[in-house]
Amino acid sequence: MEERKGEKMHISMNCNKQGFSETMARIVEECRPLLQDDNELKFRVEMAAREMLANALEHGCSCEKEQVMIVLTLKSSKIKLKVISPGSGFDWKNIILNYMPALETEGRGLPMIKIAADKIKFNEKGNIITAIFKSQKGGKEKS
Amino acid sequence: MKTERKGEWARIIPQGSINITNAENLREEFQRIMRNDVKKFILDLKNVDDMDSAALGKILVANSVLKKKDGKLVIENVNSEDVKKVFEAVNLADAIEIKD
Repeated sequence: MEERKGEKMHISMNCNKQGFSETMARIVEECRPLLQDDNELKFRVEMAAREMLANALEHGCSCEKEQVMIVLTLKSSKIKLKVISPGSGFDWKNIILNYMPALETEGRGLPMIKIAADKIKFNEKGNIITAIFKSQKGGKEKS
Repeated sequence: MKTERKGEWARIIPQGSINITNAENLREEFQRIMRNDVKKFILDLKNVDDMDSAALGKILVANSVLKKKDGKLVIENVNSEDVKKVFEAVNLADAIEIKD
């Protein structure tokens, strides 16, 4: 289910609810060395990870046999979380990430990731999202 | 998830984490109680540790349905700092009354 290469870890998530819970727990556990003394960073990583995994399940999976791939990279004061969904991606260029809907019942996931992370990026196809988090000790930089 | 009734109010008391895996249960609970013609709800978050956008969506759907019925939804007892921060991030107080 997982493969560790130095600071980089590859985790696969089954496209179902159980896969979500297990993967969230695994991400938090793997990030623990950086999160244990930084509640703000812990909150930001957890909020973004929940939304990234949920988006992959909701929009990037077409059946439970598929898998979402997660690449987690830890450095001394930085966490990089990449979520690769098996789907065909989405038109991220036409999403306004800074717009937080006030009354609408959906559309908050990506803006929440944007708020939580120091930087986010997508691949051209829109099936890979990467979020980068820096420890508060180094100051939160927004891009 | 517990639900208590007091007069015309229903108090829903979920527990733990509300996210994509179980947010549907919250929607179903609202719907179940609304079928009994209840229009006033308190969502008591005293036992909730965290929530995601799926949970927020269900709460906002319930709020929207209740407003159309001249009902009301109030959120109470947000004890978790993480839940408070999520609410602040999405400006939830602009849409729903949140009591301390």
